[in-house]
Amino acid sequence: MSEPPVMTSMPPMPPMPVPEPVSPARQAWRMFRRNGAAMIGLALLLLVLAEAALGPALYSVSPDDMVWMPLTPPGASEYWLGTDYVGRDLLAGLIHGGRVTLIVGGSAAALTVAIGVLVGAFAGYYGGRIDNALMRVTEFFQVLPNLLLAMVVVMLFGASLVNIAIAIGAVSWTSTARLTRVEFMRLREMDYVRAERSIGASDARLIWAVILPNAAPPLIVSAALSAGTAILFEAGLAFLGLGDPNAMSWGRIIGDNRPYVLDAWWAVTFPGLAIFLAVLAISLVGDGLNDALNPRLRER
Amino acid sequence: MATLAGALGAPLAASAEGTLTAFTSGYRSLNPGVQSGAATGVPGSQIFAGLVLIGADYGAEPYLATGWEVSEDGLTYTFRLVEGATFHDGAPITSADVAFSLDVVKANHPFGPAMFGKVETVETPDDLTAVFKLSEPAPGLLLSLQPLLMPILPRHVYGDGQEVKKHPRNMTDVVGSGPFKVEENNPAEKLILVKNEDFFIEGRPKLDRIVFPLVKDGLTRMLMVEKGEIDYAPFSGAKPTDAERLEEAGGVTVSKDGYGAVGYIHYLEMNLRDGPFADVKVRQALAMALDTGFVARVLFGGRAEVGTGPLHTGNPFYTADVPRLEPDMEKAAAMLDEAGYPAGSGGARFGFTLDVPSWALQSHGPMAEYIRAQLGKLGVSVELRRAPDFGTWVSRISSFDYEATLNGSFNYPDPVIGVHRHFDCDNIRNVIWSNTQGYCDPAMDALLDAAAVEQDFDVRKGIYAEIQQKAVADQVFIWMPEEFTTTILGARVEGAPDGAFGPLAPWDEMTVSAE
Amino acid sequence: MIRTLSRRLLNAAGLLLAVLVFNFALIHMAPGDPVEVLAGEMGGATPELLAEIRAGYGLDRPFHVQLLTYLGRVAQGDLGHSFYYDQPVTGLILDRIGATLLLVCAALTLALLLGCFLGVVSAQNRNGWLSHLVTLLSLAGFSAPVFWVGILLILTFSVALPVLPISGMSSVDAGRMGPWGRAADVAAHMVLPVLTLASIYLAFYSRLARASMLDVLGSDYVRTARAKGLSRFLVVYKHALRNALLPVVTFAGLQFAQVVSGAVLVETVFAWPGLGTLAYESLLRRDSPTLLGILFFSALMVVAVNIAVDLLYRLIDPRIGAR
Repeated sequence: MSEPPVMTSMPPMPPMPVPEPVSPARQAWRMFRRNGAAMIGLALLLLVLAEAALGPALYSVSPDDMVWMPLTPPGASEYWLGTDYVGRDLLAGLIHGGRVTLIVGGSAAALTVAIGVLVGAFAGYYGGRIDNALMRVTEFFQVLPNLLLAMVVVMLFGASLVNIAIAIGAVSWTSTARLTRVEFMRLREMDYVRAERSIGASDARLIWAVILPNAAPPLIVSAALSAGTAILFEAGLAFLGLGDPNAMSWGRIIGDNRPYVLDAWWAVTFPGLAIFLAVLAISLVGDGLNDALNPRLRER
Repeated sequence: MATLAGALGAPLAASAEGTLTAFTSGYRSLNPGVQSGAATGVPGSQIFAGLVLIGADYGAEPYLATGWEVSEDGLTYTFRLVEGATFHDGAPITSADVAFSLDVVKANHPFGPAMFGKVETVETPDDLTAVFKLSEPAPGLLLSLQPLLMPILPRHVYGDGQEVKKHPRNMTDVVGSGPFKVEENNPAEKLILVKNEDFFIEGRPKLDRIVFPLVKDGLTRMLMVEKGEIDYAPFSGAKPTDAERLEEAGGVTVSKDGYGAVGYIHYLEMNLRDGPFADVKVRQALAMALDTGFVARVLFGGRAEVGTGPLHTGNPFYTADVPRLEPDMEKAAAMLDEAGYPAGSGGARFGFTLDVPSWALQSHGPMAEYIRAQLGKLGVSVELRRAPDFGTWVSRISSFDYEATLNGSFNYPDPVIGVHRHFDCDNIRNVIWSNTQGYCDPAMDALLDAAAVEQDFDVRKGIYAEIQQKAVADQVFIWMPEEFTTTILGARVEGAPDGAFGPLAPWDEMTVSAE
Repeated sequence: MIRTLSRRLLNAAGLLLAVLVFNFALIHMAPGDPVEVLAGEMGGATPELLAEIRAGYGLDRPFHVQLLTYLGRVAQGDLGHSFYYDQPVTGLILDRIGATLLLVCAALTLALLLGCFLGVVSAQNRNGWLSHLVTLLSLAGFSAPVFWVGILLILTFSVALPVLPISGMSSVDAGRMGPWGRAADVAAHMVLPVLTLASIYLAFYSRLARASMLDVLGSDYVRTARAKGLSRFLVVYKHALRNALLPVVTFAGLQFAQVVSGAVLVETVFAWPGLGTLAYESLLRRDSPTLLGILFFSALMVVAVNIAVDLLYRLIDPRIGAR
């Protein structure tokens, strides 16, 4: 992280001609770009995404085929990372599993953000009774251990990828909701919001078109964190045997191979490493975004 | 570093002399009379005595019964009980307890009717004589009278009118009749048994205590065995890879002995009522597609036996002479074409959901992955459905609401108990491990009925050979490799039971030597 | 103060009631019939027997009657009877709660102490290498799947270098040890699970402590104190630290439910005989009374912890009570 820019030391602007104002997004990107850790995170994240998008097409070995003797160590065959407990190519599993993991994590995070923003926006914008009621619901979901609740949901309704994503989203949205609410409460009293209201803008317009874009920066950071948490969550469920048995995911590779860990450290270590790196990349980017988008921190 | 652990009290060596550390998996009852399975059976066979023991040659040996006579017609068995034997609370063991136990087992044990359905009454002319009266000859009767299958229960405890299956004394204050008494039963952590000083065999048991740490997680258990924290691990759950590693490391013995009587086999069960599986051609095609030899050789490291039919390879009535289909993918495809399932667009023929139960995942997991991959090549798409819990799977299968499932069952030495149940028309019931797949053939029934009463061993063996051949020809199941069942013995352990029931017998001659 | 407390308690009661109703309905809504599952455990049953069992557990009555019966029982402290363990659920939970509390409290304490220490230290040399290191470590702690960390720790410290026990809470022969021996034995078993569980929260707390410390250090009254000539040490540790800890403690309270979630995974990896393993087992057995009981009990704990934190907060910082 580099020295923060000091506003007072900026050269005074020439009066003419009026330069293009630097857009907030561009300014944030400048901040972000100077943040070494965040840039490493971004590079890592792009790598992970590219792998999930293109990897399966480029690497032709099927993750379902039993291609070699089970539990072959890395480097001992043409399958670089070795094989799993039934002789499937671990690398193929990681490549295909990445896609499943990211899709589940991503959709769960999207659901988390959608519910959280919806609840938080209404609570913060309307206040009063609506706020009270919605916050009670939020509190309710906060007092239940979310993993346990997600386990119950997956268990009772079946371990399909869709159910898993829904279960994760449904139990993870509370902090996003709280954050959104606080932002909305702050922003709804802003002058430009009042101005819009005075010219007769509808509630819907005020919520979605006026306030939400201004509340976006912290929500983007929170969404990034949700994606990381959702991936960890999916892995946890799969580890407990509640993953979809028809879809290879990183968590499932760990869960399935765990009984063989004494003979095949690689089959547990590599998928764990993959999860770790993916979530770390997301966290680094989220952290960088936080620094870049949060003006309060910028002043420091 | 090791001293650090020592100072912290972490035991690196196993327990003291006279104390055996063994394991069993989670049980919900210590009374094997009402709860089948090895989890209850391992400790249950220590806590309760039976009338007889079964030797390695499947012959009955005296235990609580010092001797017995069988009438010429095979309809009357007269047992004489050992004198002075007592329950753990000091009450004498009498013939009335024997009669009571038989009633309890017959009414509550899943195999009760199969084992003792032909026993009409047990007469008790005096305290030490029990006379079994049968309606028909039951050639396997003695095999079912050892402690696992017919434990002698105290009538004064269980005869109080409560339902024995749910009796509180199955878990607390258990009063047994065997060589060891329950000292502590904490299902969350451990079960501790101690020597029964008043055991009816002089000088036994030789051990002072048996401690069963109740660890459910298989990996943890294997690590405990590896570190020498467990001396004796019956039904060890060791995978072939574990066995290999343990043998290489030395210090322990991995033994496959003693599991012939239990005879744990696995099979792919298809619901025969409707859909593709109603057609024997389809079943045969799948059998040809699935190379179970490959599964045994590669997925189970060549340590599991390739199952050939309904009987375990260790069963005295087993025959290898069955019409098995050789693996042949092309022929399998041709047969499916013929049966009306030609390859459609993209090669797809048909699909089914394969249930994978949770109770034998270490065997069924690899099998399921193999079946899915292999049948996929044939154009048969398999969707796996892992039952999250035991009960859900059981209720699906026993209500016939499934397409196919991986399954497994115990033979028990007498096929009447563990084998007939899968093939008998009368046993198509809403009960798990009955004839849930819905197979019915009068010719098969006739063979089963004949085998059940035949008293001549060789003739009986011949009938069972026919039964096995017919089951395979009809492809009732697709038999998978047998369970790789093992006992792991630490170097300090001696005198482990070596009868046909292996560790499911009293451990009264075992000792643990000092290091 | 009393009014606040009673309002909090009333609110908590409402919340817990909602938890009970919601979970009961959820499990009821699920496909499949608990009685069939129960019959399955017993090896299958005829329709007549199923009906009999259903009646025995009162499951043949309408949903609202069952719900009201359940609520009435819970109000009397009876969480029902476990299908699988065939024991009162309350007893089952009380048997296991100690182990979980031991694990969770030790892990939280460790994470709080170490997290605050790291956070404060890194706040003092913001943008220095130490600060970056703490940030990176805490991100790493957050990003690693907790069960994976547990497995790697076992592989390292129980298998490769066998210095710590693999799992469980006590040794096989703990019964023969004296009281101190037993305590040491449990302590040895605790090391790895506590470290694993603490690793997640350490990340949160150190970051939070760092942020709030920065806030406080920049605030007027710390500047004033510095201006008055108080030593740097005194300012940091006496004035700023106390104020910086408040948000961390609050957050810890709010996060308590998530700590229970973490405990499920950690207990599973280390075969720790606590509520987490009980929850997992009862889930695998479809033992709905036990499951409902555990969910309720965790909610109860979370609510209690939050009220306690809230009260503590008011005691430390009287300004809040005045609002």
